[in-house]
Amino acid sequence: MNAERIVTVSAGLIRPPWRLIVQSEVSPTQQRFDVRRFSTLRDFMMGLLTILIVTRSDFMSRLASLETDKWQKSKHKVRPYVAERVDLLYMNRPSLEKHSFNFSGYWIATNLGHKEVSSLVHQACTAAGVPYQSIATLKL
Amino acid sequence: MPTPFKRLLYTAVRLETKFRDGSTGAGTSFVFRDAASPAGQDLFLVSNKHVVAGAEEAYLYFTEKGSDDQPKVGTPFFLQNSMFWMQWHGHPDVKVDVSVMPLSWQLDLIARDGKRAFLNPVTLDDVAPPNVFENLDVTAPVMFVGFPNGMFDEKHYLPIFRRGYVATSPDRDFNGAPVFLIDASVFPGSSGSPVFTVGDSSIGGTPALKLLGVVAAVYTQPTDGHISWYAAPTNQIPVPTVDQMIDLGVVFKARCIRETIASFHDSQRSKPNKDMQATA
Repeated sequence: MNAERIVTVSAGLIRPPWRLIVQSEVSPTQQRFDVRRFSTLRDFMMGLLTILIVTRSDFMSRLASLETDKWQKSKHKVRPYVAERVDLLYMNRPSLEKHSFNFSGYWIATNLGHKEVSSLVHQACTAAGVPYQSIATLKL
Repeated sequence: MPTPFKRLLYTAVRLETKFRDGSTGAGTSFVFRDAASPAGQDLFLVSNKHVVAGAEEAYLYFTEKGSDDQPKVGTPFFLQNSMFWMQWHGHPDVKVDVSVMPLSWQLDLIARDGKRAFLNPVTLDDVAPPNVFENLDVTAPVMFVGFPNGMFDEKHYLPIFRRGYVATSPDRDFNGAPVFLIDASVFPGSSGSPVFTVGDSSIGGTPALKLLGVVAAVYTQPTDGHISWYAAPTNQIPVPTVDQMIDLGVVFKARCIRETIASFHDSQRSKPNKDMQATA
């Protein structure tokens, strides 16, 4: 996997099943399309992060940093969706912490609408340095 | 530029499939351009349901297109696909063994990465119209291109042609199904092969290179044979039964392809929501 180059990530995030297509260059003569469907957002995010984490060693810290920056600069974003501490995801709402999961030492929120998920997927791809697009842009 | 017949070498696409139980298979598909589909979504792979059913992974073989727009023969590239079975759409009639897979999006994505496939898609104009089926005589020669027994030119990554003859009246649906039979050496791996007219030069004869249909099966005859003799307490002799192919291939008629593609588009339209653009 490390020797492969991820070319694009495409996601379908309107409603379950959450869809993910990852195009990778295995070698100069071989490209791979991983086509996956997930019934839960948690599984989708787990699948996406598992793919992207191999792109660079500081992937999760970059993602958390991007999320924090976006949260702090935005007037509308009330919380980050990735953080090192779970309480940062749900400030003053600890009962919602059950909607998060831990991945490689970072907490990921999953009770998100499709716009927020799309934004988070975009951030994750930015952190990994991988182009991201909606599946709607593919001529499927 | 390849001759018209040789261009068909770039119509067939080899499929190597892997299944959950670890077994593997090899089959044939071919590229079909459906001008009735939305622009940019008009390329499909065509094969059989039984070739792709349950395939967890597959490798598709293509010949690269050079900067001179000609095939770089012997320079293949492979598209590896996971969840392969999920990408196919079968004919709505469960008994019709035809399936299609949208291909344009994959070719578009690899093109953005600088790869181009040299393809010779079958077009709607290449599909035999009803009058060809009416005029095509029984015993008329036909040809099909694919990967019989998984065989191919491993140096140039090209498929193999075979010839045969129309064995049942092509304007009739054999046994009531949208098929006709060909008298030809059809083997596993030939499944999914496109069948074309060879053509004849007589006045009012059949034009060449008209798509008649898709090879889907071969008739077999169970044959008893003895493996070996050995002493056993019950004095029984193991007698294996083997299926001997009797050189009669089943061809689903070309109209089934358009029906399958139309069904694919219907299924797409019936989806309640289209995925929205990225909002970040």
